[in-house]
Amino acid sequence: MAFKLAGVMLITLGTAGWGLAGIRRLRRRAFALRALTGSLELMESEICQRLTPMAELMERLGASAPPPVSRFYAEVLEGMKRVGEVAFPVIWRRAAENTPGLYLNEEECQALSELGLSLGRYDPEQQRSAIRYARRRLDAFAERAAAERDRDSRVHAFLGIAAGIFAVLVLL
Amino acid sequence: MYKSEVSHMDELGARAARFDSAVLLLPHGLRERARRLTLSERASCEELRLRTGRPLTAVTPAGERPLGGEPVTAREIDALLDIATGASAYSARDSMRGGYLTVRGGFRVGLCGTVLLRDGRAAGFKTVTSAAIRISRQIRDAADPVFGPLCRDGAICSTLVVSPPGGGKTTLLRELVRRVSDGEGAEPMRVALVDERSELAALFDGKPCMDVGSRTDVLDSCPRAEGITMLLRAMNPQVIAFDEITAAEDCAAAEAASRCGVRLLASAHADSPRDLREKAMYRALFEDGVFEKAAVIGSAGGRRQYRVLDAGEVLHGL
Repeated sequence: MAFKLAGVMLITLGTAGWGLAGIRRLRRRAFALRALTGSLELMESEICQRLTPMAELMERLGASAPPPVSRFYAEVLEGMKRVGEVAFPVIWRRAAENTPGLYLNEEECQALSELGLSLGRYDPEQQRSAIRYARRRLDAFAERAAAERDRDSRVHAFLGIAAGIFAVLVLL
Repeated sequence: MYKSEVSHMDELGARAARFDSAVLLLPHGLRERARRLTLSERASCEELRLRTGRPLTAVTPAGERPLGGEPVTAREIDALLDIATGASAYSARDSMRGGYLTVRGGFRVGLCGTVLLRDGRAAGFKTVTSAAIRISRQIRDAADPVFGPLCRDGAICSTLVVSPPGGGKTTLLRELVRRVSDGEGAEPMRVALVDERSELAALFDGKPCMDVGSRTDVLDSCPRAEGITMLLRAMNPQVIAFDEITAAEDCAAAEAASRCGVRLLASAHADSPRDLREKAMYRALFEDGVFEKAAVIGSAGGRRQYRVLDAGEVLHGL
């Protein structure tokens, strides 16, 4: 009986954990997108008003943004050690694709990567337009992610618990 | 090995090391070609030049020679700009508008290509097709041949350093500034330096990459005439130094400073004392007593030669 009870508890905890992991992922994605758009606001003023060079800018954004966005900028800064060998847009895109915890889907990753094509080389006004365009797109993605989080969190929670109950019923 | 040979090798090594630092501005594919030069070639190299569709070249006192290999590509010039600006061309837009970049280590990259016009004025480059990396060096004995004759009663006289382009004006001027500021061979004085093209002190991240002396205040990236006026108002200088007088407003500002009792150290393009005399703008500066002496740099047999002339000798010939 004790074994059965332990089994029931483990199965329920396992499926609930699976549900919670899904919820956490949705929350983190929405949070990361919101933090990214926030950091782009700072990026715009640093580039257009202070003409802050890229390396200093990445350092500043990395220090002010919360994780995982701070990790994204740190990744870009690290990649900048190879400037001249690797083009900046490639460094930026690789960071967007490889930073753990950003949870961007293909479309969101594409929007962020495209911003890298305009950063650095063009004059501040052109960069301002590109940053604002990227912000608008990421803002829309952030809103969508927040709506998905609110809607799907309940689904994940329900599925987690329901799967646990179902498994317990089948096994008992 | 004799002591003099050892110090000569040290000097060669130091000069070659400066070249090696400049090579790091090149994209990877071009670095190896530049590194194939011999020690003495690396030590004497003054510029590395990149032109789209042509091989990389090195400029030494003996002339410009190609370093072989594949022609330089547009992508390699873009990579050079990325390295020089840290992928931040916009942050160097003011100097790029003037056709050059000052980069870490005090190197200067001259640029050429298709200019971007805004309101009829150059606002930068659409495309850069040529780049010249100028390998400036601090030569601490550069002022030795002229420093004594340029001083009177233990203090430097107002001096115009003169040579054709690439003749070593900036190097000599920098050393004059350093020695006056540190009081090396003369009474120490407060020097204010207007470094319009960031070449004399080569300020980078707020620190001078070149030693311009302990009593020197640097006004970086500021137009000369405006800078002289600002320094007169703000810094109470005993000496004001600036590179390359080219415009009437520079002369007017220099004259105003001279009337305030400030000594001047400056440079100008001229082939010879005669050339200097024939250019009305420079002639007037000697006639009005703005400059008391001229340090003329010439060259013979690939070596630099220096002459110091009094204002009278500049105006009336030797």
